[in-house]
Parts: sequence; C-alpha cells; structure tokens
Amino acid sequence: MTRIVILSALELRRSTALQSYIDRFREHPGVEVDVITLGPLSHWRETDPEPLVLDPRIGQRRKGRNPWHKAKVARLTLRGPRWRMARLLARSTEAQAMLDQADFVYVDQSAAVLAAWQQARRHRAGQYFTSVPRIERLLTEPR
Amino acid sequence: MTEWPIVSNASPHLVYIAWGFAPARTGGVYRAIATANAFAEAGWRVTVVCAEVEAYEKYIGVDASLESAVDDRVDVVRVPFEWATQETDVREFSPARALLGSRAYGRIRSRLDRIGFPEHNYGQWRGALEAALDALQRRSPADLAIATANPNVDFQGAYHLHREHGVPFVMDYRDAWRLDVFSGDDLAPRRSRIGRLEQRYMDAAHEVWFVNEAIRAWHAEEYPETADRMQVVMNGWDPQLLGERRPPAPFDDGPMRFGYLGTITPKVPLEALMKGWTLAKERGDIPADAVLEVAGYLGYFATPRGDLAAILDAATDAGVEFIGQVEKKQVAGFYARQHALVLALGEGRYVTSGKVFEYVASGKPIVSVHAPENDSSNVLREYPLWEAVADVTPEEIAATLGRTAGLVRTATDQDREAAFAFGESLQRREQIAPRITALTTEVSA
Repeated sequence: MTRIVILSALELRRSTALQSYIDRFREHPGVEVDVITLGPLSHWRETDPEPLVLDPRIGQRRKGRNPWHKAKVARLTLRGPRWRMARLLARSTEAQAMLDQADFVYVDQSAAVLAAWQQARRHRAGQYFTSVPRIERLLTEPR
Repeated sequence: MTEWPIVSNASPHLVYIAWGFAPARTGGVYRAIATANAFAEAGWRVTVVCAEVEAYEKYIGVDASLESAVDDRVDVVRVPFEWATQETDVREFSPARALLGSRAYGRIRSRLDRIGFPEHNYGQWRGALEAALDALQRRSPADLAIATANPNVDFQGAYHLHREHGVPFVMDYRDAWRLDVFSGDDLAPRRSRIGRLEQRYMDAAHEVWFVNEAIRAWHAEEYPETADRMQVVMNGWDPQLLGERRPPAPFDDGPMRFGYLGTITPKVPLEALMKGWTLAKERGDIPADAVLEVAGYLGYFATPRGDLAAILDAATDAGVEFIGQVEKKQVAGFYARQHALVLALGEGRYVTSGKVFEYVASGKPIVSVHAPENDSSNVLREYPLWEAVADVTPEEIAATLGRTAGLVRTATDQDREAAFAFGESLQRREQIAPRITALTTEVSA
C-alpha cells in the first residue's frame, strides 16, 4: 500500500480542488490518501478521507462577534499563514504520525511550503512534492 | 541520397550547442538531432553540448525513444543545469525558497538569473556552459560552432568560443529573440541589453539561419549589415523518426479519424477547435462516429496544464480522445491510423511549425486551423489535399472540417500519389544539405 498525504494550507473554502487530487491519486491501485488542512473546509464528499484540521476554531472565531477574534483571524489569514501552518504542523502529534507513515506528501499551496520543508528535514522517510503529476509518475514507476 | 563534399585530411570538428537535445521533449529537438546527424554523416566530428538528462526529466519531460535517433558518431557533453523555480521536490528547495515563499523567491531568483545573461530561467546557464566549452576546446579544438536557439543563451556559448578561441560560428534561429513571432511585436528594443547583445552576435557570426523567410526578412531589416550572411534553413521531416513511408490508403468506410499531434500550448486555438469540432458533429458536417485523436504534451513543461486538460475533457462526448504523449517511435503508427490531420497552430505570419512537415510526409488530407497568414500556409499552398480555415472561429472550423471529411471520401489515387510525392521534397536533409556543403568547403579550404 502507498500512503499519500495532501498537505494543504486551505481554510474555510470549498474542498473541490483537493477532491480532484484525491480522485487522481486514488486512480492508482493500492493508494490511500490522507488530508491535512490548515482550517476546516466545506463540501466534503462521503468518500473523501476525514481531514485532519490543524486549526478547527478558525471558523468559530470568524463567525463570532468578538472584535479581537475577528482581528486576529484577519491577521492570521492575511499575514502569516505560512508561519502559522508550520507552527501548528510541528505541534500536532497526529499530523506528525501521518507524515511519518507517508510515502509521498503532496504540498498543495505555496503557503504550506515552509511547513513541508521543515517537516521534510525532520522526517527522513517520505518524499515531498509540489506537483501532482510528478507523484503520479512516481506511482506508475516500478519501485 | 545526398552527396557530401569530400572532407580533406582530418575530419573537421563541429561543436553544436543546444540546451535541449535528446532525450528532451522540447521544441526544436528534432532539428537539433537532425543537424548533428547530418554533419556526422557528412564526415564531421560532432560534439553536442547540451543540458543534463536529469534537468529534462525534472522540468520539461523526456522521450526516451529519441536517444536512439542520435547517430552513434555524435558525442554528447552534458552541462549541469538547475531551474530552481521549476523544482517540485521540497527537499531540494533552498532555505531561501522555503522562508520567502515561492512567489517572492521566484521574483528574486529570476532577477538573479538574468544578471549573467538577459534571459529568464536559462540565463544562469551561461557560466557552466562557457566553462564546459573552454574545457572541450582544450581537449578537442572546434573548427565550427553552431548554436540553436531558443534558449538564446546557446548563442552566448558560440560567441564565447569565437571571442576566446577564434572559432567561427553559426546562429540557428528556430524562433526569434527580439521578435514575438505570434504577435509580430518587438519583445526588446534595439538599444536594450538584448538588442545590443544580438547586434554583437550578428556582427561576429559566420552565418545566421532562420526557419522561414518572414523571420529572415525581419532580421535583415533590423541588421542590414548582416543580411548577406542570413540564410533560410527550413524545417523538414526526418526519415529516421517517421520510419518507412507508405502512400496513404483510400478511406475504408470505418469511423473517420482526425488526428492532432503536437505540443498543446496556450497559443494553440484549442478551445475554438473543440467548439468547431462539436459544432461540426451537431450540424452533421462530419460523420457522427468521427473521432478526433489529440496527442502531445499539455504545455511547455513536465507538469501538464490543467486549463487545457479541462477544455479537452469537455469535448470527450463529441468524440475527442486525448492520449497524451506519443513517443517518437509511436509517431508513425499515430499518423498511419488517421484519415486526416488537423494542424492547429498559434497566430502569426512568422510562425512555422515543425509539425507541418511531418503532416505533409504522411500524404493525408490536412486541415489547417490557424490564421491564413501563418507561415505554414506557405508550406502547404501547393499541397493537393489541403483545406484551411479563413478565420479561426468555431463556425468556420466546423465548415472546414466538413470539407476535409469530403476530401477524405473523394480523394483519388492520383491526389494521394501527388500528396505523397509532394512530401518527398520536404525532407529535412534537403533543407540543410546546401549549408553543410558550403560550410564543409569553407572549413576544409
């Protein structure tokens, strides 16, 4: 079995793009896909894997009336998603375990690159790519 | 069979500089292979200086079957090339890229790359290329250098050999540097860094080759003092890549097959073609079971473009099949199973596709889906089985596809024989032979 983790810095968006990648990876036999996202996403299908959300509270904060929360969300989402993503990913033991077991990690957004780069240095196993076709090519190559 | 002049004494040594060479699946690679092979066959010692295979694998893709197309007598020197902004392996990212983010890093890196040579992405190759050429020159001095572009940094390599070691050089333009061949606009002013460099190269070049008369005329006007050294060396089809030619068979009443083979870039009017094809099906201009088989890479790079894939996907119900890359050894089979070929190209009177020559070699009906002023029209004007759109709109494309379907059914044996014979004159060897003969005589003198 080949394990692929999709590492995405998306938050509070439709999950359509990620679903297309999930479908493409699953077309290859023996592939299991996990997803790690920065924030919660909408429109998940029943067949999609349950995503690990690094910051599930962002939705609540955005919906809330507390102006400090609103300001913080704006600050976090506009200014620092790369650093926040890296920090949250490093702290999440569940995410670390998923990355440990991954054969390939697809890094979905440029905002997730810093986190992926730090994890790639930490985890010796697993290959981290920013290209879906490159992973697909490797899946079809004999090991 | 071409008669080559007798090479006196030791064989002259040609250094052929082409960033993209076999097995790269880059534009112009067939011209590069054919030129190197033709010189080797004419008795020259040929050394090709190109980028590493790993660079092709990572950034633009490879066609492994191309390696067998290179003459065994051709030596290949591979020069390392890194295209940092196209790297997709996160472990290979520099700390700067990880910390700055890809966008900011790409902007900074692009500026840095252009310090040594004013060309995006490829400019940074200059140092490694010149060092490799110096080492090669020490080992085996060159009698002639030919650089094929783009990338234009190849010209710098040839100019370097000329300036440092007195080697005469030929500039082989497959495209243009200062001219946008699609729009006809200037890409760089005459007095820009690029313009000044090109002027310097032109002044020093032994010969300057162009793929068509329109590009040659533009350069002759820009650089009149070099005009007498400018030559048109058209593209052509390569027998070793297409295999044995056979006259096309008459239509066999099965599903009518149209084929498009070539790199599909955003310049190709893909959307108009798909709409035109769908419309032709709806109106009954072409048979209901007709198939359009589309083959080739989506975009210039190893990573296919999603927007182009979506356009093709949307036309699947209308009988459009996208089969992706066709390796060179499978090309003959692709042409053999089509009844007609669709030549979809970008706009521009300066544009000649290398593909048009392969199409002509097939001897099958060709439908041109490009602006009439495209230079490919000049190649096809005398071709007996040719239909062309008057303008690139879905309605016109549909009507022209309909006329082509009629041509597939009604073409006589004489038409097919005439089309087949026409292709014979467009072999690449016929185009390049006069230049090899002239250069051999000059170098041997």
